Amino acid sequence: MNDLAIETHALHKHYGDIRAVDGLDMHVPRGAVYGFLGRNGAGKTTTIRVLTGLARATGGDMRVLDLDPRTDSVAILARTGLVIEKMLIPSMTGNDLVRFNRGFFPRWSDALAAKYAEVLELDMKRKFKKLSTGNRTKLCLLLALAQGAELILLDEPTAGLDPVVTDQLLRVMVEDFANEGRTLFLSSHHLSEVERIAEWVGIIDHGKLLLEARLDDMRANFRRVRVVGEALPLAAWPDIVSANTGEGTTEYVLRADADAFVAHLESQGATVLDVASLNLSEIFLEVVGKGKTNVSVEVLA
Amino acid sequence: MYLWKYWRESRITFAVGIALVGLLLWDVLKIHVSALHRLPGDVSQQNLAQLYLVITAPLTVLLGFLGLRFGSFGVGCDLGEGSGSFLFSRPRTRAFFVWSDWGYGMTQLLLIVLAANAMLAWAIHRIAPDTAVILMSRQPISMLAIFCLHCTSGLLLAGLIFGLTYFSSVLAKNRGVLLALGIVVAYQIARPMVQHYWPQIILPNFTLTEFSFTRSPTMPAGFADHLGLSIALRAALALAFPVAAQLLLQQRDID
Repeated sequence: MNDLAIETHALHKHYGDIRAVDGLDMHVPRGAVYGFLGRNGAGKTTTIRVLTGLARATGGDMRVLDLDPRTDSVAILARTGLVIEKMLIPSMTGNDLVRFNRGFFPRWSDALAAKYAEVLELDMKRKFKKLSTGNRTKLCLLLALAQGAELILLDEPTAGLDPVVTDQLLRVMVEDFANEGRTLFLSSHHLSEVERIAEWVGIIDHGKLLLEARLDDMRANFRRVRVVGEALPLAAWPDIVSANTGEGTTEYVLRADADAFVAHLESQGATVLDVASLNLSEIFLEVVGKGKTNVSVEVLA
Repeated sequence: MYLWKYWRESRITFAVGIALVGLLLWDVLKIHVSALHRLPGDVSQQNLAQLYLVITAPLTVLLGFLGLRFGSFGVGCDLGEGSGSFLFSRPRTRAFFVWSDWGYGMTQLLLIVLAANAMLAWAIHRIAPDTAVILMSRQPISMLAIFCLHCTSGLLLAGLIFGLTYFSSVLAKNRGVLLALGIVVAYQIARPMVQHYWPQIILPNFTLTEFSFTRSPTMPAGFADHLGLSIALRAALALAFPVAAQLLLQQRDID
């Protein structure tokens, strides 16, 4: 059995001239909580659609739970919980939707559904169309979580939820799901939530995966280095993500080997003002190119 | 479980359909049967043929309407409401959803058609209780044959419009019913126009012509020519729409 829950190679999805997914190479380990980060329109939702067979790939290879979504989408969906559009059947109540969903999934758990309804404070007797946006999201999550899936794909799961429910939900996802060795794939641009629960992070922009690494490795390796000096290298060092010059100082962001870089600069006569670690939000901003000089980042080992 | 969903969506239409058929037949029969009973002597074949024709016309409209309504349920409805991603992320093939919708819709239409024709047969039996061979035609035709033929005719009409609407709903989502209605109306307008300008071209009617009519508008002469072929072609066309809907869904990205 492959130790990856999701694997893509040069995955493409084009809509006419628009390259929604443009050569995506992604590796989601089994049992991991994987945060899939990107700006609006970066290709997150399209990637999930392609992985579940809702949309057809234009090119490339992919495996989900060792199966090919192009030919085995039914088998994949039987083992996967998916929340993508927060739109269920409008005329059904929560209880109706549980009844409807139960028949499709052999490992469906009524006990889990009841538990999540209580934890998420859901009125299961109210029709879906009469629920607030937040409650609609909660019901979608309930259905995905109670089906006993090996893999859960969630697209912006906390959109529209208040902080209390977001907290409850994240707790539920980690305690009841990720800790049981199942894989949780979470697309979001709420970086603080992802930072709280994810072990792995992939950053996508313009349909390409710019960075994929363990979150701990990213925190350990990414550094911001502020330097004063003349004739400093801009993009020559292999691990530079961005380099910005202004008001007598140059600020570098490095993805690895900051110590070696600092030593190199000092050997060139530069003065290093400080070396600081970055949080996920700062790393994300640097990687998606908010810096003036951006260097493409390869996948970390 | 999926059939339960279709039943939830369509049960009101089904109940209304049965009620309208009952109401229509009761209303028409009440007037005509009492009129026939007032006639001196035996009820003539022509009287019964007239009754058949009087009932067929509104039944055709009603079945067309029900076909249109049933076609608006199922996958097309879900795509229109934005719940397509939810539905198609249930672990079933797209063909499963199409043929479940179609099979269940056709079953309900069949029940309505059977109910309508059973009521009609019962009414005729009330008027002429000893008649095992019926009437309505210069050639004797058994009551069972008439019943089967009417059921086939009604089911083909309803199935054709049901399939057309179902396909249109998959194609155009919320505008599917209007598209199907537009096609039906446009065809009904185009048919006599084509016949007027190009008399050699005769486009078939939506309804099956079971009998070849004589000059008397109320007296069929016998079964129409090539009736079996006509039924087979209509059945093939009615089946072509769900097949087309399935192929369309299999090629399409769900959004």
